[in-house]
Amino acid sequence: MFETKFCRADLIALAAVLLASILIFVCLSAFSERGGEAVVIFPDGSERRVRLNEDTEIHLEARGVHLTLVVGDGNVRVTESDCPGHDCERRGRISRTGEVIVCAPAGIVIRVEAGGEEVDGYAG
Amino acid sequence: MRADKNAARRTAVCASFAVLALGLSYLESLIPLELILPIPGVKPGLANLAVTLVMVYVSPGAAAAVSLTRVLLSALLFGSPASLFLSLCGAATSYAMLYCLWRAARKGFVRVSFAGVGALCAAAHAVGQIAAACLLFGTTAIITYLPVLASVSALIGTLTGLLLNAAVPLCDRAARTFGFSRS
Repeated sequence: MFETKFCRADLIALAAVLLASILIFVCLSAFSERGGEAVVIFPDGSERRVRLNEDTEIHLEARGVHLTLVVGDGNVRVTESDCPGHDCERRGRISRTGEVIVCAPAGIVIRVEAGGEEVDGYAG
Repeated sequence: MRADKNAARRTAVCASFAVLALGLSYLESLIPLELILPIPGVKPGLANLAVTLVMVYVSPGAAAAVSLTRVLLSALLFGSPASLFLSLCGAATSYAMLYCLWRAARKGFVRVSFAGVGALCAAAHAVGQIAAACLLFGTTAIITYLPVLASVSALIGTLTGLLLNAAVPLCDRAARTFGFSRS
């Protein structure tokens, strides 16, 4: 039977969840770096890659939802969207590998990847 | 005769709580919590209150039925196939956590109140939803939402749990008049 008074286990439970969250956050951050490109994944699985070192404005559409992406200063963000929740707009700028912007109504995921240069260097 | 009365009573109570869960779910969809906490999908998790009450006053099976009913009706009325999948996964992991805690508490392995239950069920719900989102969108990158979602959910879950801590002793009396005891 559950207690009805706040007890030690409750505090431990909450602390454990918070600690685990911080741990996961640290691990994710440690393994991420500034991304080279953003991948836009559409509901049908098709992808569109966008370099983050070139300032651009892109218009996307999926499942009847229109999104406007702006790339600038090495990051990407959703500036306009006609989806119901606008969570994607409020996500802000993403620039590190692994970071994502998700627009659920559109079924679109924008993910930052390392996207290195095609060649490591030039000789001659 | 006695068995019939009990079955009918349990059915009526479960149905009432299922509707309660649905109503609470709809109500909290009206609260724009996202204006204060800019995390997609963060909710007070009020439907969990109904499921927990059914778990302690009726049975685990009844609680599962109430949870499932709420998820299905909610998705049918207000959602989409995608939202159904996310909702189902979140509810499943949350229920699994609730059931484990309930069994552990009954056996005396842990002494935890509804606040701790709320925190852990909320965190479990977050994990379930993120996992579902990763499957749905075909990328594991969505896990970057997990730290913030899980910690905020756990905090809110503790608050709703504290609410239950205060309410359950009052519910005990009402439950007794209808022939239900808490376990």
